Amino acid sequence: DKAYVYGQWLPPKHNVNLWGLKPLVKELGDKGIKWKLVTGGQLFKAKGTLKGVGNRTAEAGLVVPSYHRTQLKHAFIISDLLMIGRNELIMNGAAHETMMLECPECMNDYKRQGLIYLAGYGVGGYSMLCRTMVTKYTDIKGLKIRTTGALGRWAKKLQGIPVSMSMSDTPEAIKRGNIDCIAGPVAWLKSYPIVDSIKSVLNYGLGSYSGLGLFVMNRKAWDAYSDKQKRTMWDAMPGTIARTVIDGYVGDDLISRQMAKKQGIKITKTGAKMLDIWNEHKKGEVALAVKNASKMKAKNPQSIADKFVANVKKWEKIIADAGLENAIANATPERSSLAKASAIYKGLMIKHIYSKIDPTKL
Amino acid sequence: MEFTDLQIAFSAMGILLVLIALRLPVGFALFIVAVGGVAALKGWDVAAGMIRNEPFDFAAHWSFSAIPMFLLMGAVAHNSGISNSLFYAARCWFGGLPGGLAVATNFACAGFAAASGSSTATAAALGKISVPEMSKAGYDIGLSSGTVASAGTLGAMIPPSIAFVLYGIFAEVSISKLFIAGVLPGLLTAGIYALMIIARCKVNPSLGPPLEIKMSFMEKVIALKDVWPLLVLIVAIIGGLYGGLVTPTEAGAFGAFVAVVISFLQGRMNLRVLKDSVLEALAGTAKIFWVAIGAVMLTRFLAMAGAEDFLKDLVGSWAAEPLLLVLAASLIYIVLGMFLDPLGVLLLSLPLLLPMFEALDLNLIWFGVLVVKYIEIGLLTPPVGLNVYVIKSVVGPEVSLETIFKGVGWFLVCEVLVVLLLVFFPQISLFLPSMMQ
Amino acid sequence: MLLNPNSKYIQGPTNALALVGGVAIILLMLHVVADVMGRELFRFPLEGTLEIVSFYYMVAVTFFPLAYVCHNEGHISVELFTKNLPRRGNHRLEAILLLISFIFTLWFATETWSRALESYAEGEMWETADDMISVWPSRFILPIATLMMAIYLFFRMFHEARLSMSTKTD
Ligand code: NA
Ligand code: NA
Repeated sequence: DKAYVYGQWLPPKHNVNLWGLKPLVKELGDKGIKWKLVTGGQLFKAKGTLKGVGNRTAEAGLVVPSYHRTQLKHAFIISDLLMIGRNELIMNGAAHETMMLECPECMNDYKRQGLIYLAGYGVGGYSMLCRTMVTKYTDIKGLKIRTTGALGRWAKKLQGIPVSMSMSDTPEAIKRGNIDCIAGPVAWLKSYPIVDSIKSVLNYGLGSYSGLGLFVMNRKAWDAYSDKQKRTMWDAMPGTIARTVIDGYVGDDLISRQMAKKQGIKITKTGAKMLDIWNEHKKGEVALAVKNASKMKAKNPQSIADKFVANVKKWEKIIADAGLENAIANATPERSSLAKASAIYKGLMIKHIYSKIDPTKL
Repeated sequence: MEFTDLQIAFSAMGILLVLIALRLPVGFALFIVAVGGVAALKGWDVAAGMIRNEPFDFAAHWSFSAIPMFLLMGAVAHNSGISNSLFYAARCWFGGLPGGLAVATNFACAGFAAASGSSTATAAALGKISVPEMSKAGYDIGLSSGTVASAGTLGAMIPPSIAFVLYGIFAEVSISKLFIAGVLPGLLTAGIYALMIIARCKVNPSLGPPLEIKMSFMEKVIALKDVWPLLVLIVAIIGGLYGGLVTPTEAGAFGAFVAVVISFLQGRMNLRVLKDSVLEALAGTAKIFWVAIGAVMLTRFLAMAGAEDFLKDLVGSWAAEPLLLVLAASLIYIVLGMFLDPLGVLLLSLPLLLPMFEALDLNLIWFGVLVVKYIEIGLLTPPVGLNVYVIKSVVGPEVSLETIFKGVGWFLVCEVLVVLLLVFFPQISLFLPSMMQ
Repeated sequence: MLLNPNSKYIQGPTNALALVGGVAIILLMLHVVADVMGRELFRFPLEGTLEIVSFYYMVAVTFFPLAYVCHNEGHISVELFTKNLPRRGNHRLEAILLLISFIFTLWFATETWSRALESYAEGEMWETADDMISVWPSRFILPIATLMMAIYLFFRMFHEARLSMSTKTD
């Protein structure tokens, strides 16, 4: 019979496709489950994903909660808390644990749309990518910074000026000086054509947008699977997550740093003072996310936020104990050097999350 | 009887052509065929879901705001008489040449392209300024409207360019290099257009009758003094962009605003001018977007029908030989460009063609220039040619769509020549980028 | 006469919607210029410009004039192949095309109406540079604008049908 379609808007060469989805499609195909990856927004754009998978224009897709915050009002709390954690390894683990094990409301957000959330990922470790020399947080004062949502509040906290700008205008704008900085991960040096315009990167590696739906599937399509097929699908998810986060995003981060070096872009790590500001900023963010969710009539937003905060703490320890940071610090931009880190992370996802859930009873 | 997805797709395209030939408005024809096709493939609720979401998502888009704004700018410049002065001066200087005004319009488009990121926006900005003036000078309407529609496509070839930005993001190549790469091909196109216009008007002077200009050199120089309003407008936009005041999208609103201010300062702005200009810009936007949204729906339908796989089979073994691959790509782009908007063409073609070009180690900057050239050509080809529609909506009901398509025909002949040059002399595209670093 | 598409009962609302679109296009221009000036001169961009332009002005500018466009000049169409039809046949063809357009537009209006209600019930919001903005109101622009176009097409259809019957000869 016909292959299921995974439809999303990212360009075909984007690292989520390259490292996450293409190998997944191949792996499942080898095990007799046919999927077809349709990239580049042919079927629907980012905004159209929830409805597109819900009405089965495609059987699965990639969901950015920000675009569906009113439909995903519980699950979005986790994404909205992007500024409370340090990096995507921790935040993504904590997000999975919260959503899949402790927040039935979050899973119900997807159920109500006729969907099932099978895997997520996180991006981040944000920085300021600037066209001027920015080496300490005081340099940010008065700069115009392209941001969205919670990153804008963080930019304001640093006394920058948040500017809304479409990503298609941004490369020209940073080149010509309509904006001074872009708040984003270092990996954007590679994914967007901005490397020629950037002079410095203030790398604070704070914040990570997690709870992204890496594999969100149409419920009826899922229900049509046999128990065995469901298990095969389920077992393929942790590896996909690890490849997306580690080989994809961490790998791109390494390549971007190399690019930066070649271009003479100065990367400065932030110091203790910035961490103090961050620690203070975090507290307000939890209250705000809860308030935002209450506005949209979410149930128990405080308890969801609390659980996530606790899980971020828990995962800080898990990641530290697993020796992951060492494995990454020793990696070179050749992706093979990330294989060890990727395997460790996959193991953590299985141990703490995927082994605890029976996929036939979702 | 069961139909395969491809059979459904081909039938749908046939029905589309019939509906358009029966003069069902193009937007409605695209919508109905796309929605009907999706219903046949995936059921009515998926089709309904597309109507519920796609039109809103398409319109609610920041980058497209440049189109109503440049339409407004053009309408204000025309209705308030700002553009008369330029054409008076252009008449003094070039009017004596056969087709002089069309040549001047052609280069005005090239200049404006340096400020505008989009072809439709460039055509929108200059269409209203130049076509009525050429008509006054007795120019053939096919020539005048064809010139602006075609030269408008320089908007995406000469930087800045939204099309290059999108391609750059898809192909992960430097957009700065793509921008630089577009400069020579853009100028080459403008040059070949100009030669063709002059040659045609030499052979048949009634197309663009040379005017009898009895003016001394000094008188001609003095005529330039009235040009300032339009010069201020163009300088403001280009300066605003390169000076880092506005982004390419904001340049539309900025240009419209400057046009309003200039006409106000000249005492030429009144409620009538404002109302007419706003209504023209408004109707133009609605007409063009109605078609564009239909084209997006058609893109979705073709994607669902498996266009990518179909094209892959079509290219098949040709993908092993560079020249054959380029030829296959050309055919794909010309066919897709007949029916779809630029974004739809990019979405359906790039995921398939980029890996093939990479596999042969072909230069992706060069390919980018070709791709942009092809989507520009698609803006000019019937039945769905957005740049032609833009000109149609600024010149109004007196001129038929066929007349403009016919006028564009000669420019398409030039495009064949340009494409051949670009294919066989990649240096035209790659020389300037190679000078970087 | 009731079925006349040119009656003031149809023209009035058609023009009123175009007027709203006209206000939106002017606001679009002023809002963007104010944002640019604020950002470049005073380092004070207007919060939410991109979102308000996208979600409100652009939607209003795109859809509100649809009925107005039908009445004045008409939507873009290719007349090459039908221009030699006899007058009566022409009216008939026009009536059929209007019927098709009408049915589609009415469907469009009902689907976007139920989408707008859904968006209203959810209280749909979008993210700005550092805050949120409600967008559900602009979802209602689509059903309102296309319903007006459907009404216009409906009366035009009867008009053309009657002309085709009253045109005895070619
Ligand atoms: Na341009
Ligand atoms: Na075309």
